[in-house]
Amino acid sequence: MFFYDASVVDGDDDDEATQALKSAEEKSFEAVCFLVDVRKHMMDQVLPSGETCIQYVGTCLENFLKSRIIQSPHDKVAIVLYGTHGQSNEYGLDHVHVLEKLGSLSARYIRDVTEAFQRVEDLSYPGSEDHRGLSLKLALWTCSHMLKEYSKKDNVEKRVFIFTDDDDPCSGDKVTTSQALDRMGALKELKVDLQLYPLGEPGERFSPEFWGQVIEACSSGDSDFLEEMQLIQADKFEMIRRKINKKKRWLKTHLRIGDRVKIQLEYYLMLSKQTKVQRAVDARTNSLLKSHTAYVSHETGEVLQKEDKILKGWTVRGQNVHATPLEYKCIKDCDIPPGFNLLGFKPASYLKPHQQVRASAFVYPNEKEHPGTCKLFLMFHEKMLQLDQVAICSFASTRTSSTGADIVALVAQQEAKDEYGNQIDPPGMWVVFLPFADDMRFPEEIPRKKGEEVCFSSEDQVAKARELIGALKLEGDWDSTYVSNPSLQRHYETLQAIALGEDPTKTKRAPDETLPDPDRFEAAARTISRFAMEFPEMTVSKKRAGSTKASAKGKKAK
Amino acid sequence: MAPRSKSVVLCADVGRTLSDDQVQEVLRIARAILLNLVLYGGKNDSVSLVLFGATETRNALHEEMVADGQEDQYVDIVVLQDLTVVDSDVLRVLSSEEGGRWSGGRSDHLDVLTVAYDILCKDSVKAKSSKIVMVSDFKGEIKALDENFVGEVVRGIKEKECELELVTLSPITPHSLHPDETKSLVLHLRETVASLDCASDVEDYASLRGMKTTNPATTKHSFSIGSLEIPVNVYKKVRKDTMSANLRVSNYYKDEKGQVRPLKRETEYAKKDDPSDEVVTGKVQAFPYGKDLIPVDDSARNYLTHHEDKSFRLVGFHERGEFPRHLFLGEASVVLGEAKNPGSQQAVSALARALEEEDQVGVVRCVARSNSDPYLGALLPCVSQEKDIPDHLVLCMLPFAEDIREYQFASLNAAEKWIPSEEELNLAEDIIREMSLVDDKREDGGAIERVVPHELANPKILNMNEFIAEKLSGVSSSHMHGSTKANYLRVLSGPSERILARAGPSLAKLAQMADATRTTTAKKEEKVKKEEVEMKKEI
Repeated sequence: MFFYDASVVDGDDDDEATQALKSAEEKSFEAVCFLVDVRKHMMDQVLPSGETCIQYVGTCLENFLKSRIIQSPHDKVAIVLYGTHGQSNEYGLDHVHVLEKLGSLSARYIRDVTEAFQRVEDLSYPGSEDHRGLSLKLALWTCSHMLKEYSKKDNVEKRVFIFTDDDDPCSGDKVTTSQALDRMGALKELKVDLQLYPLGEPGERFSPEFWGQVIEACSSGDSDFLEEMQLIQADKFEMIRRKINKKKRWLKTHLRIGDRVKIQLEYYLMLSKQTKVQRAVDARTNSLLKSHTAYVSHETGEVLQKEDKILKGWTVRGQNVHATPLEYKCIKDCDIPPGFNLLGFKPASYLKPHQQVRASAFVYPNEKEHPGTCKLFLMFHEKMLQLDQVAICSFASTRTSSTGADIVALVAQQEAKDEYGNQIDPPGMWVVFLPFADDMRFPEEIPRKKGEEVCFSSEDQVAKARELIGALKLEGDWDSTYVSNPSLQRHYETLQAIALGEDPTKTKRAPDETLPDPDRFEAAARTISRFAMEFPEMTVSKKRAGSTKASAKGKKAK
Repeated sequence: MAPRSKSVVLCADVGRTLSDDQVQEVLRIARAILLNLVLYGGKNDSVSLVLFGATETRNALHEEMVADGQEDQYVDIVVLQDLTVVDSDVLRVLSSEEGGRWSGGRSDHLDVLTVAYDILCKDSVKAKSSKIVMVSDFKGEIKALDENFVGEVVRGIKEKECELELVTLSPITPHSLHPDETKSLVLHLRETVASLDCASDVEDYASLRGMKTTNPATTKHSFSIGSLEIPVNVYKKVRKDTMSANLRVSNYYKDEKGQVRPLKRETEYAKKDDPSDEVVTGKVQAFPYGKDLIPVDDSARNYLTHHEDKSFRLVGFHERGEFPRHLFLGEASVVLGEAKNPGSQQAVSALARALEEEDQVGVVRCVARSNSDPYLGALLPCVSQEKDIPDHLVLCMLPFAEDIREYQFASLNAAEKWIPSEEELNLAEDIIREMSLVDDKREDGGAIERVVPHELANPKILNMNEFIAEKLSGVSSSHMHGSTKANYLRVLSGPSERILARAGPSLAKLAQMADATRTTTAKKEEKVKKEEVEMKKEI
C-alpha cells in the first residue's frame, strides 16, 4: 500500500497560521454581564415590533448567546436582573436576581437561560418603581464582584450591557445618583466597558443626562438619542453566526531593501476561508480524542519507535530514491533569506487578476517594537500609491524552513473611513501571493494547440451584451463580504438545533443571500432573450442542461 | 514491444561559436529536458540524444553518405544515444565532462534537423507523438539554403505531425547579429513549423524546462443567465503546486541490516485527557458548539450537509473597482466557451468584450460539483489579442462575511514624527524608479518585464528534482545543476546586480536615513537584545 499525506510532507502555511491564531484566541476571551431592568414598566411597555421590552431583551439575549457560542466559544456570560421583588444572589442583596452566574457558553447554558427568561415576568412587581436607584446600584455591585477576578487579566475583555427603559433610575435623588455613579466608576476602573441599550418606542424622549455621566456613547444631545443608541446596539444582537477572530499578529517579519535597510513589519491574516471544524470523539463517552501517527512496517507489521529515523522516498522509473531527514529538510529549505526581500517595483497594472495562489495577508509597520519604522514604511507606502506601483518580493516565512519560499507583490492600501469616522480599510500593504511557473495552467491556449477554430463575437452581439449588463446591475453597495455563507449558516443552524435538543428538520433556515434575485431577472427577461437570440448557433447538450446522474439518483432516493 | 507515447530527439549545440559557459548552458537546458522526461514523462516515452558542432561524427545518415562516396555530409554530429525508452541512465549520458569533451566542431542546423528527423523516421516502434528539440546559439554559419530541400524538410515534419522546438540562447530577430543564412532558416522554420524560445528572455530557462507541466482539468457547466443557458468549460488556471503533487513521496526505514523497507502510516486515537494513551477504537465525528462537542451520526450529517446540484448562475454585474484583487481567495479558474460550439464561444466573447468596455465584473454563484458548497465568484473579462486564443472570463473566488477578519489599525499619519519629509519622499520615489523591473525597451518598442513570477520555477520543487537526479545518475548535483540553484538564489535573494548598480547611491542614502531615524531608545533596545543573545550563547 502506498501512503502519503501532502500536508505532512509539504507543511502548510495556512494551517500553521490558523493554529497559531487559534491558540492565541483560546487564551483571550470576553466576560460579559447582562444587567436587565425587570421593573413592571419593562413588562408593560409594548414596542413597535409587538413585543414588550422584556420580551425584546429575551430575543436579544438569545440571539447574542446563539451567535456568541459560534463567534467566541470561550466567552463567559452572566445574567443579572434588577428591580425584582425578592433576591437571589450569594451576597444577599435586595432586588437583585442572578439568573445565571458568570459561566461558559454551552448548549445547556443557552437552554437554561432561554427557559428561565420566559418566567422572568413572575419576578417583577408593582413596587419596583420605588427602589429603582437602589436596585441598580446593588446590581452594579454584583457585576463588579463577578468581574473582579478578571480585573488584572489583560487577556479578558470585560463588558456590562445594561438593558433599561428608564432614563432617570435615581429620580433625581442626589445620594443614590452619586452612589450609582460611583459603582459605575468603580467598574470602569476595573477596565469594564459599560454599554447601555435604551428601550422604548423610537422617537420617544430618553434623556441621556444620567447615563451620559459615565457612558461615553451617551454624551450626545437628547434629540433622537434613543433611536441612535438603538441603531448602534441592535447590530450587536443580530443573529450572525460567524467565528470572530481577535486581532492577533501571526508573525514579526521585515522587508529588506538592499543590504542595509530593513523595515520591521507585523504580518496579519485578514482573509481566510472559514470551514466547519471537525473533531473526533469517543463513541461511548463523547470525550475528545487526540490522534497520533504510528509508522508500521509494511512487511513485518512492526511499529517503529519514535527514535527511528523515517526516510522519505520516491519511486522513479522503477528505482527507489531515499532522502534522510536532514536531506529532506535541505530539499525543502530554499536558502532564501527569511522575511520579505525586495526585488524591485512594477506598475500595478502588470498584476493580472488570476495571478494569486492563496488568500492575501496584510502587513503593517512594527513601530511599537522598532521605533522609526513607520516613517520608512510610510515613505514607500505613499509613493507606491502615488506612482501606482507594487513591490515584488521573495518571501520566506520565519517560522520554519519547510514552508519554502513564495514570490509576492506588496500592494499599498490607503486608509478609508466611513462617514462616522469608522475605519473601513486599514492603512498598510496587502501581500498578494503570486504563482510560480509550476502553479500555472494555460487552458485558453488549448484551441491553439489543437488547431481548433476560435469564434469571436460581432459588434451587434457585444452591444446586446452591454444591454444585458445594464439590465442586471447589482445594487451599488453590493459586497460579498456582507453575504453569509449559506452552507456554513445551515451547518450552524442544524448544529444548534441538535445541541439544544430541537428537531433539526424543523429548524428555521436563514434565507440564502447568494441566490440570484428573481425580481431582477424577471425585469430583465426581455433583455436576456434579446441577447440569447444573437446566438442561434449555440447548442446546449442534454447532459449539461439536466442535472448529473448522481444527483438524479439522489432525488429518486428522496 | 509496448507502443510509445512520445518520441523526443534532443539536439544540443556544442559548436565552436559557443563559449565554454554557453556550452555548459546548452547542456544544462538539455539535462533539464531529460530530467523532465525521466521524472514526469510517460512510461513508454523514448528519447534520443544528438550533439552537434561536435569534434567527431557518428550518425547513420553520415554513414550512408560515406557509403555513397560523400564524406562531407552530416559531419560533426554525434548521436550519443539512439532512440530508446527513457530511463534514469539517460541522465548519466550528458554528465558535464562528457558534454565538454565533444565541443569545438561546426555543423549545419539543417543537417542536424535532417538527422533528427531521420532518427524518428527510422524508429521501428510507432509513437503517438514525436518532437525534435534543438538547443543552440544559432550563431554558426550554415551553407546557402536550398529552398527545395528546406521545403522538403518542413513538409516532412508537418506530415509526420512532429513538433519542432527551437531554443536559442539570445533573441533572434530580423535585426539580430546572427549569420544571415542561419537567421533566415530559423525565422522560416518559426513561420512554418517550429516554436522558438529564447532562453535569455527568462531568469533561468533550464529550470522551467525541468518542471512538470500539468494539463488543465475541466469541469463542464451550463452558465445560467436567467432562462439562458450557455455551455461553458471551467478550467483551473492557477493551482498551488506542492512537492508531493509533483511526485508521490512515501515513507521508509532502514532495518538492522541496513536494508531500506517501506512503511505505512496509521493513525490511532486516544482520549485527550487519558495519560495512559489507551487506544480508542470506536470514534465518531463531532462538531464543537461552544465548549460542547456535538456528535454527529449519519442522519444528522445529512442535515448538516448542503444539498444542491452542480450549477453556475449569474447573480448580476457590478463595478470593477469594487473587486480589489486582495479580496480574491486565490486559485483562479478560466471560463471558456465550449469547443466546437461557435454560439457558446461568441456568447462568452460578447460578455467579455462588453464587460471590458463597461468596466464591469460579473458576479456568479457556483456549485462546482453536486452537493458541494456554493461560493460566489467574480467573472473578470479577458479579451484576446490573438486570433487563435478565445476571449474568456477569469473566475476568482470571493470571500463571504465569515471569511473576513475586520482588524483595526492606527492611521499611519497619527503621529507627526512618522510623516516623511518631502526630501524623504523624493528619495523613495527615486528608489522606486531605479528599482523598476519594467524598464528597458525592446526592439519592437515594448517594455521588458523582469522577475516575472510565472516564469520562475518553484525552488522547493527544483531542489527535489535535482536531489532525485543526483541520486539516480550518481553525478553530483553541484556538477549537473549547481548553476540552477545559484540562478534562483540570485533572483530571489534580492535585487539583481543591474538594479543595485542603478539604485546603489539612493539605497546608501536610505540606509543613512534609516540609521538616523532610529531613536536612541531603539538603539538601546537593540544593544540589550544583543547582550541577551550573547549571554545565551555563552550559557
